[in-house]
Amino acid sequence: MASIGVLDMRVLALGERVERDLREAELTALLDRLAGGDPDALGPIYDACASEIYAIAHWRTSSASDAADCVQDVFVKLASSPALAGGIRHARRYLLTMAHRAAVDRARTRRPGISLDDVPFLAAPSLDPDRVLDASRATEILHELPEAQREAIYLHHFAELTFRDLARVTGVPTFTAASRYRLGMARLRKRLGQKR
Amino acid sequence: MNDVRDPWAGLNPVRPPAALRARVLLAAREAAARPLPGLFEALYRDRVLRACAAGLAALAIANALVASGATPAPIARPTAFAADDAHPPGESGLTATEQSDDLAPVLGDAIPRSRG
Repeated sequence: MASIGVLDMRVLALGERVERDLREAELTALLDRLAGGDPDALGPIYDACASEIYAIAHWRTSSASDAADCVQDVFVKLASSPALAGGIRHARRYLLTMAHRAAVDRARTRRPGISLDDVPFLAAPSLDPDRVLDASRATEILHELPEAQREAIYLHHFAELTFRDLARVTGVPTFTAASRYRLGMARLRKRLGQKR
Repeated sequence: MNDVRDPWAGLNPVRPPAALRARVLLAAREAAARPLPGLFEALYRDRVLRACAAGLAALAIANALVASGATPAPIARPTAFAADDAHPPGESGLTATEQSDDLAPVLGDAIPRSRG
């Protein structure tokens, strides 16, 4: 039975990988369409990756309104110089890198002292009251983390980037990217009062 | 939060508001329809671009000035060391092995011959 379980897990992982590769190929084709002069490709590109762009910007800037502006910045850049979007090998990583840079710029130019909004980083899909409480508590704890660690947690855990890709998106060495994730998780666990 | 190994179990990042899609696509379409600014307009708007253009112009001017000036005389390479009135012969262009036959009468077996 145990071997069947392992086999099932491998098949599931393979399926996820194939699905991810298909999504990547689809996104690359959409960017090529945009580079070829078809602005109607912007809609499907938005549907494919706006959530991730919004989330990385939100986790980096701690502000939902800044995150929305970052999404707009990324798409305005794509639309105003579409030729740059052609022939990209890692479309998703490219867009996440654009989102990271937009978020860093937005956070840098933000005037100090402006209060950030209270939009939570995480949401529970079910209406279980315990889960909703968990989401608000998680957001509270995430607010205490440095922005780079918070971003690393999002990119590695939720966007499922490898440490290597995480490093490329954020423009740091792989070791630094991995350290940010581990330090962030360690602080989180410490804050939750859990031992590893 | 209940699972120690995965504190994020059951939680997902919040999604962008639904109204954002129309706003972003409208802004993107407007940007796509806008003509690209000319060189002088881009220089007027962008400070970094102005700095780059100024640096490039300075380098071009410096290059032009250097190119138009007199060619400096080549520095003569000393062919022999002349201290204490000693004048050793100049560089023969031969390797130590090639010179070993000529030096053998003077140095004897002081220089071992290489077998390679």
